[in-house]
Amino acid sequence: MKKILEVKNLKVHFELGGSMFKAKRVVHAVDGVDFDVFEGETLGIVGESGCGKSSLARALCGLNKITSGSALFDGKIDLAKASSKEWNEVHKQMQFIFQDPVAALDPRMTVAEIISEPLVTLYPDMKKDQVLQKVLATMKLVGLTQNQVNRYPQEFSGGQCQRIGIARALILEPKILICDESVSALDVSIKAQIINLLQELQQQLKLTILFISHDLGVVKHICKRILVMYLGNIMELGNKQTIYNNTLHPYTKALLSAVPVANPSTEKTKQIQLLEGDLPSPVNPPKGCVFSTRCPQAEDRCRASRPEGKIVQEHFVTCFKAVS
Amino acid sequence: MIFKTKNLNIDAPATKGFWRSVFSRLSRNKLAMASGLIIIILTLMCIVVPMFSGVSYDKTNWSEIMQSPSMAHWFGTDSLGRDLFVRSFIGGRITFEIAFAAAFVVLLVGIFYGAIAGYVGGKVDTVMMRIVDVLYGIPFLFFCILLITLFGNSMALSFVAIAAISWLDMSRIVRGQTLSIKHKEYVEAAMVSGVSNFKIITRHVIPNLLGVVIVYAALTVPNMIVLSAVLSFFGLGVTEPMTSWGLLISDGAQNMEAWWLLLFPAGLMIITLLSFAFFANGLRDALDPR
Repeated sequence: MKKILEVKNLKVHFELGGSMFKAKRVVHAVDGVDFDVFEGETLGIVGESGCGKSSLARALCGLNKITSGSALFDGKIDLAKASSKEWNEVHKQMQFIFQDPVAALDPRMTVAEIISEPLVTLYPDMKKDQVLQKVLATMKLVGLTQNQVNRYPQEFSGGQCQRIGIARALILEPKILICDESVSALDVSIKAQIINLLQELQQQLKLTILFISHDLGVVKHICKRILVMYLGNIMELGNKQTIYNNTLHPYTKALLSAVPVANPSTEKTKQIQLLEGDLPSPVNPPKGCVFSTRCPQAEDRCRASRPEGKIVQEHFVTCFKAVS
Repeated sequence: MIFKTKNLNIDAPATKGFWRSVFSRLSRNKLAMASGLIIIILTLMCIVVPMFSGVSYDKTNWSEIMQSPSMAHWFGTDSLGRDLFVRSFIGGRITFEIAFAAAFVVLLVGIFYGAIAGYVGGKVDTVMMRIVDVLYGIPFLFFCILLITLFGNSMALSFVAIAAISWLDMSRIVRGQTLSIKHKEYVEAAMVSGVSNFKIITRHVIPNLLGVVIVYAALTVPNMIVLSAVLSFFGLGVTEPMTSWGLLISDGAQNMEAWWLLLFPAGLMIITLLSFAFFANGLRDALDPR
């Protein structure tokens, strides 16, 4: 399969404070991740809040600056060093769907203006009639009716707003769609609708989807491969089946054990691996393995040095114990 | 961009846009509408009265000095026998001219300065806002006197002085609004679509902060009327025989036995100020419904 995105040792750091009298502090939001995204797949990125999954996604589409490393898009453009002209190419191919469907739409614009904005910006030569035709076609694609073009976002429900957001992303016919917690803000029935819509669209348009979520149930349903992040590092990466059935990393195990089960009798007897303590501060991450402060199996070597990612039993895992 | 859906045979009802719904809410507020009407009437009178009254504002008449209001002189006459009715409205015209021109400049400069500072952020923001802080430190009257010693006394000067002081508040308000809008997801969505920074400011940031800005502008016009009155009260800016509300009030305050000299200009000014305040209040409620 063709690699559409090759991420190598990508780092996204934010500088905090730092004035004349105070040393700058650095938040290691994403601290060296390596992974590939293949054409047409759905890659789920999971992890608890603050693990850097959003920072990673935002860096890939230019909302955060990449501090170092590289992210090769379509084998041509390195996102870490892309010029603004190259970024425009990337924007045409890679679009973003936001978490809060209502906040993602400008309240002063009509639906047609919102959906057409990427098209008008990136293809300035396009005729107005063509743009409108395209807008209407895309609206139909995501399940909006044509007579809604001149309405304002505040007249729509959350689910409809998310459809508008998806239409805006799809009007450019991108190759990659990055969904940053795109269904988290919706209620369960609407969530299911939007997920089904995304899956239909993926089949229809051969989309690659980067699906970021903390909802493991949704991720299990929609994704082919799963990437588990913790404190800016990849803990485990592999096919859905291998991750769920042959979990190697203690963090993934804890994460999966916390997923509620619909069957009450299994839910009662289920053992939850509780993690002690909080996520360490990304300003000064632990010296050894980033998970060593909370890992139930941590040993001295885990605290002393950071394990390197290795491919074990068909998946990529960052843990000393899993390797040996 | 406006799309015409007519020739496509789609029934796409356009719902009321933001500004139309604001206006329909505003029109239900009787006090605000009455105030708006008063402002319009006063503005028109300031334009029309001096043109068609038949009496020049600076025509002295020694036989009719200090007359109390009568059918011939509705507002009475002053110590030089000039008709106060005409003088009140020509004074109002000057005052409005200064206030509206200054408000326009304040809107223009304040919005762009504040929006750029807030949107670009970082060092640019720090430098731009420190400049504002320094200008804030200059006392208003001292600044005016400085201008007059440098450039001589003129009406244009009071406009410059008022505008130069008033845009500072506006730029601070706009910057604050911009900071909050900048991190909204719809701005980020525009960034992901490759919209240039300038377009983001003009298309997304400014339209979304306009509500607050317009309310503030409506509140700032009376402030400017007072400032221009203060200046002319001290004899800065507008000079005789031209007049302004400030000058007329200053005159009237020195001749308290001729009550009409103080009552009419001061009354007109108070009505104007209150109308602006009520109108701005109604506008704020209409823009921010709860």
